[in-house]
Amino acid sequence: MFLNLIKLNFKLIFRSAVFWICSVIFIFAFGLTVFMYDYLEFVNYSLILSQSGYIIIILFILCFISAVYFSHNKTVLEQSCLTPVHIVYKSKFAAVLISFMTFCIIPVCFFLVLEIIEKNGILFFSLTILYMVIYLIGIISVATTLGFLTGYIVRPFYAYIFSIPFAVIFSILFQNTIFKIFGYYKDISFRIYHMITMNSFFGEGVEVEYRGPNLNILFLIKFLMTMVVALLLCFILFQVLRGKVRTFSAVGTVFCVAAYIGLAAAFWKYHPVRYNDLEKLYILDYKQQPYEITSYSGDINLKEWSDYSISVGIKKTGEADGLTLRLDQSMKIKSLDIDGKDVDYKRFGDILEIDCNKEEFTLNLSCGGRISYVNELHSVNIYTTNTSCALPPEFAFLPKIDGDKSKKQYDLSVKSNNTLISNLDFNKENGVYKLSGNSQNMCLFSGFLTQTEIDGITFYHASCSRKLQKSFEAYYSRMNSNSISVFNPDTYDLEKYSGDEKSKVFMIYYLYGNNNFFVVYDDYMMYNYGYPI
Amino acid sequence: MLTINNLNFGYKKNVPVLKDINLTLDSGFSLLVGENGSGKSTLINCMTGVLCGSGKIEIDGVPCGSREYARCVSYLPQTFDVYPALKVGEILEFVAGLKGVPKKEVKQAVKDAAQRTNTESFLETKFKKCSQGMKRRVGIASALMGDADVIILDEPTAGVDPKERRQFYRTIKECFAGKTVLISTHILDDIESLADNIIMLSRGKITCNMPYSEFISSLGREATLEELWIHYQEAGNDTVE
Repeated sequence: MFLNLIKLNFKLIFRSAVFWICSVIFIFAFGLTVFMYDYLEFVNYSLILSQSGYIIIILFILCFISAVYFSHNKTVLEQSCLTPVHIVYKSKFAAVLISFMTFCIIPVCFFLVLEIIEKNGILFFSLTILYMVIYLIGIISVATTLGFLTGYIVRPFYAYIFSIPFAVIFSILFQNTIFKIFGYYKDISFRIYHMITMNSFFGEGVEVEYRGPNLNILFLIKFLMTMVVALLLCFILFQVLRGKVRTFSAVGTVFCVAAYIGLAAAFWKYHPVRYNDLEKLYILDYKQQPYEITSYSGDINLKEWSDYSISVGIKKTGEADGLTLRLDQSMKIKSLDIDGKDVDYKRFGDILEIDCNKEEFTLNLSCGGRISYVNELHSVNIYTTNTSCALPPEFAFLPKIDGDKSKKQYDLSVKSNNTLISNLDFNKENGVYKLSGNSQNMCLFSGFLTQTEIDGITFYHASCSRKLQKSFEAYYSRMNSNSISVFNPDTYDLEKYSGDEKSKVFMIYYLYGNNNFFVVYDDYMMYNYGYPI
Repeated sequence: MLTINNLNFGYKKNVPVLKDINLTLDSGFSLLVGENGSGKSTLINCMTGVLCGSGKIEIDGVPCGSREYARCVSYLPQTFDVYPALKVGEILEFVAGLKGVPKKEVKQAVKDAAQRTNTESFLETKFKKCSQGMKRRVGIASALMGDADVIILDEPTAGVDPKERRQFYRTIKECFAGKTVLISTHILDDIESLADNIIMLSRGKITCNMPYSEFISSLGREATLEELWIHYQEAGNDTVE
């Protein structure tokens, strides 16, 4: 019976003008965004959804009002067959929900065209489609369920008007209200807003373009939260349809509330931590240590929860009682020893104090943890995920000594699921990147990246951009200008630069407090190509 | 055979709409009559499972609300105002599916019902393009699906002109001969043309339940239908069997 009813409702929905008008509006809105923001010539089309909050508002309203419309349909035919009311409406609801899921086809078609233009590869395309489908299914589920429930309870025409307040609450339009309540640009305001909004969070900041679609644990939790809300609304709808509380629905409602609380707690836990450049990257206030790091060797596994086992060669250069290292607090220590012997150590935030008084020794360290930081411009730009990472040279992913400018010998094996680039020499062997070389520091970036060689300089850049040529021209134009200013990470200030060009130039997102100025290191240079506007 | 035992129903507590209804419907046309607000629609809603009162409603032991009961009953609402975008054939196929007609036999069942109601040439026509008379015939055709034992028609001739009404009487007499048919109405013409039995409801109680021939002569003299109607409506709380 239920299948017959669903089939009937599919016929009715796909023959209704409402469905096709909504489809045309969504196609138009999506197309307009693609062309308006010039995505056809841009980088990373996976950012379209997160950067275009208004598409989501339109989609939410379309699904909501359509669900109201179909819930208001007369059910004389089903009644004439003595079909119980709750089954009639459950089947109608299921058909509406599934029908509107087909809206996902619209962005898929646009992305297919963009993929043909940009040629980012099957991995990028698949992940983008997966990201977009999951994202849209969440929005469509909540909007449709809420609309159907509203339509069933509120029979008069004004039920449609409810789409506006709900669209506001679940979209970027509610951001200002939350900020008014919890404080402007405060971390708590962003966390609460990100928990409520249907819009992609951190769309308010500049997104790292080589990351590709942001498929990580936080996105998954957010999706589950959305689906739990939709499920909760379903259980409420079922109880309203029955006109009484039934055990199954009551248990389901309690389960959904409990699940939402659990997921909200997880969302809070895994939400990126707000950082300050001067506390996390550019440490200006430190006590000079009579130690130098001479080498790093070992294995690193880059994923959402990254881990590594490394040996750090350290040499004493003066009198000292103990060694103080900087190691990001996200990286939890699994084991630590010096020359094979366990030692006492203390951790305070990013500080690691080790009780040691040897002249030259090897620190063996095994760590693991999830790195996810958001800067004050609301951009998650220090992170590791399963397909991408951004670990700038100043960040203490590996233990380091503040003020240590000595050159270190690197010999590392790095497992990365996507293309990895570094200031060190690297080559890929059997799926593992072998990093080696001498440098003051090390940076690791992975994602949808590639390289281009021009005039003996290797430019590393995101693999998806049709405007890249213009960026190369801009780079040369800036380098050839008479007085080029560069950002000095040691002083957190600008200075004149007249040195030679470096052999490696990273033309990737690089906004780590450097205000779009070049950042020059001993053997490479950072040039923010970022998000070209 | 449809039986109703001790049926009581009220939308609000202590305000009964149906009071202790006991009824047995056998084959033939039974006309449920009563003035507006007498409880006709409520009784029909109870019989179709839309409303649930205390007491028992069964068809040969099959309780109301079960799937089997739904297959035994065909119900034609007052206005058969179904989805305009569907074709007549699709409507009938859907009803056949829900009434348990085997998949292989659906096409034939639709064809037969359409033939009997003279809607054969409209199977590919969208419902919204059908005339009112045609829509009524489609309703009858849908009631024919599944060969139900009990047919319930709720005010089927309301708003129908006399000529069309005659046509309608002919059709349902042909289509539902030998079935247990309950027709709710307050149109005297319906009673005269169709009734085998009369069931009169007044203030939620059955005030009259008898064969039509007895009903006509029940006052002991020749009386018009209007007189009989008024008499039994005013009979108040006394049930006349």
